[in-house]
Amino acid sequence: MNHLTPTQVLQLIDQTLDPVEHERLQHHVAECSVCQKELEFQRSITKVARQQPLVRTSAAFTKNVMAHVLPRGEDSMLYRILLYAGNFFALIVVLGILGYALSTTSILKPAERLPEVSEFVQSVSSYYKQAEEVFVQKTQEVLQSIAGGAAGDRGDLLLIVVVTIAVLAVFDRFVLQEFIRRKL
Amino acid sequence: MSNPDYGIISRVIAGEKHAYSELVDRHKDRAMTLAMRMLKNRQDAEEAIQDAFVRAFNGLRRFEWKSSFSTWFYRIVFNVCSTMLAKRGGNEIEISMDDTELASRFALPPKNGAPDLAVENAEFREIIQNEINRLPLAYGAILTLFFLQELSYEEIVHVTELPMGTVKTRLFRARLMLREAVLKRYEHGQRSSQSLREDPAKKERVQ
Repeated sequence: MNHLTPTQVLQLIDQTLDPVEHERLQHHVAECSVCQKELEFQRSITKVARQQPLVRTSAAFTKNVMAHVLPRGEDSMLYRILLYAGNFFALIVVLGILGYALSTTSILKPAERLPEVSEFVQSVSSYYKQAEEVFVQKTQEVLQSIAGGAAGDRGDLLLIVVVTIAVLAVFDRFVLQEFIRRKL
Repeated sequence: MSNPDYGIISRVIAGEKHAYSELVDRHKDRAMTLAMRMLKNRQDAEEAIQDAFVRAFNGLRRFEWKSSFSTWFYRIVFNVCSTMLAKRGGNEIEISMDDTELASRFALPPKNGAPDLAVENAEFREIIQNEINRLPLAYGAILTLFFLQELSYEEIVHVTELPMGTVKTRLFRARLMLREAVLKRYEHGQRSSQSLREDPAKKERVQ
């Protein structure tokens, strides 16, 4: 058999020959010092070529890419403040509702009204008072049907707070944060 | 899936856009090496892969994991670099060589046998690196994808959009051209050292 061609040597290294041909060429290489040397030489080239040093990018490369990828300002301090402002806003709203609920439910004394409150404010507050009474009444009915009447005023309050937090969390995640991302 | 790219991409798609920097850090140097091989200019190469990363980000939702992220991304890099080369007016991706002449050269056992040397030294590494850089673009790019990115033939086909036969042929030729170039450098080196041994006066002059 003649010496292996360069292509056959590479096919042996890459193991891309069919098993019969591979075996035949391996048998030849085992007995031929010229082909052994050629195989080792090509193996060395392959090995060293795989270990070449990579070309490094500049130090600021990733930052530059991210500046193009992120919407304008998303990487800034202002963006982060506004993003967290949503959470603060939600917290304040929850505390406000909690305070309002505590001041109006039957477990606490009714808040004293200031004598100089305008007619408009009175009408608005009476509207909300009525709405709240209906809501509390309906909620009580539902809770009593579930817990056999065990839930009381504290149960009403807890339910209002939990529902409010859930609504605000959804609002913050899917509406407020998306709005901030798109606008900035 | 154990591939770290999968976790990062999932987070980016879920809205955690800052996580994309992790993906950039994982792939930027290999992409840079490929771009440098093709464009031969550091500034152009960095510009090209920056463009490729931005394109990849914008198309991340359309990425379907039919291939690995790296294969998909190298295809973008390859296309961006090819476009830049075309704009330069000299797209060397399409090569015209005498196929018959080349085929006959590589179908016969080499005339010059392999050197009997301990080859994997620093000098050998330097020669390989220089010779890969000097290969024609059409060969250098495919060789880089094969050696450095460790892509399979199928993956190189996916990246370059060349037929499988062309990829295999170019890859073999590139490796054989590399072999011949390395041998030539070695022979040249041996002749130089031999002439120095034969002519001590010349050796003194060199020193």
